[in-house]
Amino acid sequence: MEERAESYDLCDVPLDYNGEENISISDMETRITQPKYKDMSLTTKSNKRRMKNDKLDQSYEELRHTLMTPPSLHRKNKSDMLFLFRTDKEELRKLRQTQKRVIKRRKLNKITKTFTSDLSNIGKEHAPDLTSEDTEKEQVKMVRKFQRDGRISETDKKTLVILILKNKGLVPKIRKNLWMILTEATKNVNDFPDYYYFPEGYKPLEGRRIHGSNSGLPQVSERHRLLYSYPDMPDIYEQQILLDLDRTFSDIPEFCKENSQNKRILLNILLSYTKRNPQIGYCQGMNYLAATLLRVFDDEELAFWGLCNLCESILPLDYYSHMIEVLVDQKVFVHLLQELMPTLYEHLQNLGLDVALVLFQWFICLFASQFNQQVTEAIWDLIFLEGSVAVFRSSLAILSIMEEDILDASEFSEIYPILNTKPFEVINEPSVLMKSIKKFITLKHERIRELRNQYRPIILEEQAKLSNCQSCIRPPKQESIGSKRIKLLSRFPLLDFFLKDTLTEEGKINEMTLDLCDYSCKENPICLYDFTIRSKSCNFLVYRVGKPIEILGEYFYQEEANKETLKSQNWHIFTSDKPKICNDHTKFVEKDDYKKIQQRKICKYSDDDLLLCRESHLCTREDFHHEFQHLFNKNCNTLLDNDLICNFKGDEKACEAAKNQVLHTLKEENQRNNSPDSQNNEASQSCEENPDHVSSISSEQISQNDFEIPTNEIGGGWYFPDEEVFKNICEMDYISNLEKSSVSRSSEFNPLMALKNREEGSFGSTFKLMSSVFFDKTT
Amino acid sequence: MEKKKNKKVFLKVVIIGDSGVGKTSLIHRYTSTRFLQDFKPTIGAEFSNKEVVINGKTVVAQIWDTAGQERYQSLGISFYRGADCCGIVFDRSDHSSFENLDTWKNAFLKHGAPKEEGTFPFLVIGNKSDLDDGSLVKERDAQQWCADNGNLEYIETSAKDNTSVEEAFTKLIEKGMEREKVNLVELPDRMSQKNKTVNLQRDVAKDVNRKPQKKKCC
Repeated sequence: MEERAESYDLCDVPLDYNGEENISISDMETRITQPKYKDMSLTTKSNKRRMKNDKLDQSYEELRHTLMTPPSLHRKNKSDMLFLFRTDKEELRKLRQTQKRVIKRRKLNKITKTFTSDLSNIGKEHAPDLTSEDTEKEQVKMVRKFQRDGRISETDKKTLVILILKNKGLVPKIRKNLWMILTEATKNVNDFPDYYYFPEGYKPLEGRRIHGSNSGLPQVSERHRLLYSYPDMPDIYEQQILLDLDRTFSDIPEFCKENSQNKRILLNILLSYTKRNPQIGYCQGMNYLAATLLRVFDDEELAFWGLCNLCESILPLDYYSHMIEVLVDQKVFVHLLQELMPTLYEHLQNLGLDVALVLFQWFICLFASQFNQQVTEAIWDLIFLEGSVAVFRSSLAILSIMEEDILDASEFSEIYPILNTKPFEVINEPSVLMKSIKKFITLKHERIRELRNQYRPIILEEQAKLSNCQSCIRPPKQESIGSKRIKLLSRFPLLDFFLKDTLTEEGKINEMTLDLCDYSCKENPICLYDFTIRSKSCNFLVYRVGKPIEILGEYFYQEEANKETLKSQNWHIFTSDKPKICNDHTKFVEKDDYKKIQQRKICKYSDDDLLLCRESHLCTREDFHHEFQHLFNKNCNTLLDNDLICNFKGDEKACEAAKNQVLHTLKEENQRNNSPDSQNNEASQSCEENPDHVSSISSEQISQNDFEIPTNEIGGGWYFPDEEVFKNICEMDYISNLEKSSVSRSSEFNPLMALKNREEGSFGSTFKLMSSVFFDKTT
Repeated sequence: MEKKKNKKVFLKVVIIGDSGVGKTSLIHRYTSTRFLQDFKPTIGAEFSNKEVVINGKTVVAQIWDTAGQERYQSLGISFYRGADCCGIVFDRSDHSSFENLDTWKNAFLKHGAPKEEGTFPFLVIGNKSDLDDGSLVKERDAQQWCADNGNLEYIETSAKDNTSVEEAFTKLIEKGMEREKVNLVELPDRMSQKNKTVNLQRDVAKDVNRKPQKKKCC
């Protein structure tokens, strides 16, 4: 410890045990120990040398305190005070940061090191667990810190995972808080106060359909906004949900027959979710997810957001909607099993048992349906922290616990109970499982992704074969106007509407009230709308500043806009041979092409042209968006006409324009639907919706009114890649970066702030500067 | 060897039908002779085994309980493949579940792709007969449907009252055995050449049994 403090040689222990993060310790270290701060680090060193290990924290706190308050008030740390006088404020600030980091690093390293040694000790008799109390304390401390910061960095997540595995579970009392941050439930509740519930004092409209009215459950309160939205959306899931409601944890007092209040809440959550994301809707198994979240959060709204996060952010797309990804994951798992536990795999093969079928339930319900609450929650801690790789690890861990039993079994009938019921009796507390999970800590996210990509085509092919025999699959229920409208709305990706009571008795749409709601997703998980946007708006575009602004090229990632998935979901796909957005430049690019474009090898663009990148979520850059729209207003509205970038809020005129646009398209849509061959043509036509016509209306409106964008505008998700980002993009796998969790996306990756800090006068010139920086750097 | 085979026969019995019609209850009633008040929705598929003696033969029925929700049908391939017989369950008090019989039968034939599409042994089970308030699906209608769909056999049960549950499964298993008999004739000789343990033999026998099916179907 002492030694390490002196040498700062902290990078000897590799941190990227799960490889989900690109920043390694050494990266951090180089940043910390830049030559500029060399002198200071010496000072720190001498400071530290005096500190006793166990008092490290405390001393640091004191130091911090000293630094924050006038020196006269403190006489404890004389050296620090002297130090204070010697350094100027700026340097001091930096030093403080450096110190903080170093201390954190040291702690982390200590943990990591013990942890790795623990790993090597596996198999030996109980390595003494001396640090159990410490790790618990550390866990609590970390979660407190997260609560303060409101976010968790990737590094912290890793540390916490280590702490959890080390301590054989998370300290239960901090679970709720941790989940609230990890699922971004608190954040979403704060950011969208009026999404799930109506705002206070809202008087609901009369004559609304009451959901679950026949269920005998208590009536829903009128506050539920999401539940009441899209009143004419077909309720294809309600019956199924009601059916499953009585069967969800019916053996637990919270959800037993008598507790109808909780059932009602569960129903509200699940029904609301079908409104939020009709593509996923409701899948058997989600009832367990919602119930588990509800048990931990003990709050309807939080549980709802938790469910959103789980289904849309943590688990792969198409997990519940078409189950493609579940099937893929099964294959991946079997592959891993064969690789990591060959004996077991062989044995199961010989007995003729397809493990994947048994595991299906584990994957769909994320263990909630079978394990007891403590174990489920312990696994979920890891799932929230690490993503679905934790599901694989846990499954492997369970099998490895059961390995002996399985190998002893010699008949199919014997083996099934061993897999289906016994694990849940044997593993009755988290510690058993945590111990086993450690063995599979080397299984990394990259590996999963690789295998998923390998097996996905196989599954898709299988499914395609099946869907060829359409006759056996139930014909889709007749679409009501509601679902059409949802489809329609999806064409306005950056506008999030709440449509209120727009149906007359004849069932025709005669009036639309658009309640433009705040689409300030920020770090919202991939939602329905984002999914649309992913297919609709390009990942980056090149355009020319001038009058008018000209889009020179738009590029999509092939990988991101997974065509098969999109196709299967009836989303409109833009392909290179048939560009659908207003210009001819839409393309799908392979990863390699992307790099080429980055390096301007296949670019026909001049030095004045700008390249804009879209981050994986469109609504991340509040301040940027404001500037960006400001820029539009100043120059031209051309880009606004493109449905790529438009987001209005609170501005009446802008709303008016948007409304016109919607009405227009709606009219088109109705006409189209009235024509006999509408069904077949719908998809293609909607893609080809006359952009000139639509945009002429809105642009007319917009230019006539010359509206101003309110300052609190949010959205877009576009940013100008800055120097550092470009370097990152060029050097590392950008796409893998995109796949990082939303937290890291926005919190650790904020090029705009970097831009802002430059303070290069007006935004426009910064813009230009950046482009030149980029091109200089890359050519 | 032949004797041993005759002694124990393995059958894969698949139970399908809409969500909530009582598939799990029926199976549970049959295998553990209890009625479950509180149970879980079946996710994916679950298995249970029951050993019965039918016509002097010991039969191990491997009963597959499947999920009823529509979207789980995409997993049908793995569930249905290699089934020896199939029970389609509907809820007599829920007419829509009766109307969906067509869908289920077709889905099974397509996904499971059994060799003999026309004669594959199905049994239609009308469950929840105990809920008689006069609005149940009538036996006449159900029989009519069965007659229209290749003369399938129909039985009315109640898992709650334990009405005809045993009978239904016995019928199913018998049907499956009849089918098995036909197929056993085709068993290739190399089966008997391999000297393996009893258990494995059964499995190999099954595999060999299935393989020609697949080839012929695809």
